[in-house]
Amino acid sequence: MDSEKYAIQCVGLKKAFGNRPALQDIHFSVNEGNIFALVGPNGAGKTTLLKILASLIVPTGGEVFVCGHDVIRNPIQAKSKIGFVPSEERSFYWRLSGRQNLKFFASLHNIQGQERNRRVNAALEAVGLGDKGNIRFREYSSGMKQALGIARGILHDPPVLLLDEPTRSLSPDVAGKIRKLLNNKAKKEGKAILIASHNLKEVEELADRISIIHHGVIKALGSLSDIKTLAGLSPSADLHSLFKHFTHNH
Amino acid sequence: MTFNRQYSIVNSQLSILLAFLRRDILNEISYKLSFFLQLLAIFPVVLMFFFLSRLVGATISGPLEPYGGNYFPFVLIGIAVQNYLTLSLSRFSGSLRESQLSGTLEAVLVTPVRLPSFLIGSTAYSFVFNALRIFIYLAIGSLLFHVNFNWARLPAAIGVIGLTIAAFSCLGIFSASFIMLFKRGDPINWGFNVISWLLGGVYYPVNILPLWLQKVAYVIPMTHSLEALRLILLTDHRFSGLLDHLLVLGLWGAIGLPASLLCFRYALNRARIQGTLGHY
Repeated sequence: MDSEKYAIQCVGLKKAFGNRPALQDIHFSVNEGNIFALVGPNGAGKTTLLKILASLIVPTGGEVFVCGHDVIRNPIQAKSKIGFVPSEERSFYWRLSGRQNLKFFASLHNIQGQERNRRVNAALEAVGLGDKGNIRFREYSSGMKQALGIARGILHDPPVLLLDEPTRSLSPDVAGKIRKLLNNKAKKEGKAILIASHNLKEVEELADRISIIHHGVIKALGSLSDIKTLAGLSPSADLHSLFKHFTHNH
Repeated sequence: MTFNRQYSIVNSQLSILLAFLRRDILNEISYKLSFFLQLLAIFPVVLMFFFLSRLVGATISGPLEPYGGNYFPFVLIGIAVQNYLTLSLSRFSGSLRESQLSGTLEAVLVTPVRLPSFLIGSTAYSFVFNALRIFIYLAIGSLLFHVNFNWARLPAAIGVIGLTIAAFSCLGIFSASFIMLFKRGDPINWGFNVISWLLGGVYYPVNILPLWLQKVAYVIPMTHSLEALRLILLTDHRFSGLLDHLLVLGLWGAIGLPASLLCFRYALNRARIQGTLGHY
């Protein structure tokens, strides 16, 4: 089956909220070990697409597969393969420490006992919160909260990571550390990573393939050089000019 | 499915329930004062009903004959159970609403946790903690006001509370479905609570109601739960006499629970279609 070849596959995906189309005829796939970036203006449909992949939103039409599991028909199996990092900071229990929060979410992934402690420590360490795990979440800074979200996403070692603006509130040094972490996750551990981001420099640095999405429609898809060719812009053009080209001219 | 596979599923679901329980205990004990005040608040309530029972006890001793004839133990069981059910049931919708407000609902639902585990887990702490409150009500009555409960039949009473939880949980889950769809307002919980304390025999025996209201009263699970608990703890009534009450509670659980789970699943799907899962 085709879907089993890809870590993520969307086939003719559509979503409408009432009469308002949010996504139209979305086709793309992400291979293991690849970083795929979704860029687009606010309201383009990036978060909706991520939430469909995480089975938090049901699409109106089309098919979505994660590691060969149909997200609509077998959400439990699909969700066990996903690490989802939302853009919102307020998805933790504020009166619990970072460590207690991660232990709770690890248990929901059926990780128990010593293995749970080991994974929680490793995840905290990976995002630079190794010595801050016992502080209550409510006392975390915005950047620490976001870093904890990433720690939760990688906690159960999923083959697919979905990240919505993962470095938005992070300081440049921590953002650099997270980019390095994501790159290692893809290139060394073979994870498939899908990032929605407004940070075009970051996308240029990280992504193997990019999709520019506007009004719920994919306007361009491919490597940076593919998209430059598609736009007919010079090879020196950066993603910012490509972004303007596809979102202002359409 | 092999035995090992079944064992592994049950084991993993139990671990998930424990994780929810641990989360809520950690959260509750972080509000230390509130935790102790909740327990302390039981005492004045018991005291108030003790004095009230001295006022009204003698006048309604006839209708109380089946329960030992004394108003204070009768009402003590009534308020303990009503309190238990009100607090525990509102937990289904309350916990859902809290997780919508705190933004944790999507974070939990993106994990492979199963729907029944999510619902039971979200309310497990409330059921356990409020069971402790029932015990405190009865213990205060027994130790300070010398009420003679039939403590030897406590295991039977715990069994009835178990059946009661199953019977009432369906109403809590219907109510959570409402919150999932409409976000605010909880007419199911409100309506059911009002009917329960009005007709369920919390403050007065059902046999003083007009006959037509008694018929309505015997449809609701609160009536059967209280009847069974009072007969167990306040009399030497034979267990065979409780069968009707246990049967009604069992039917509520057997029919209501699957129906309410279907309803919640439908509400969850509607929210996923509308993209409003985390909205509040």
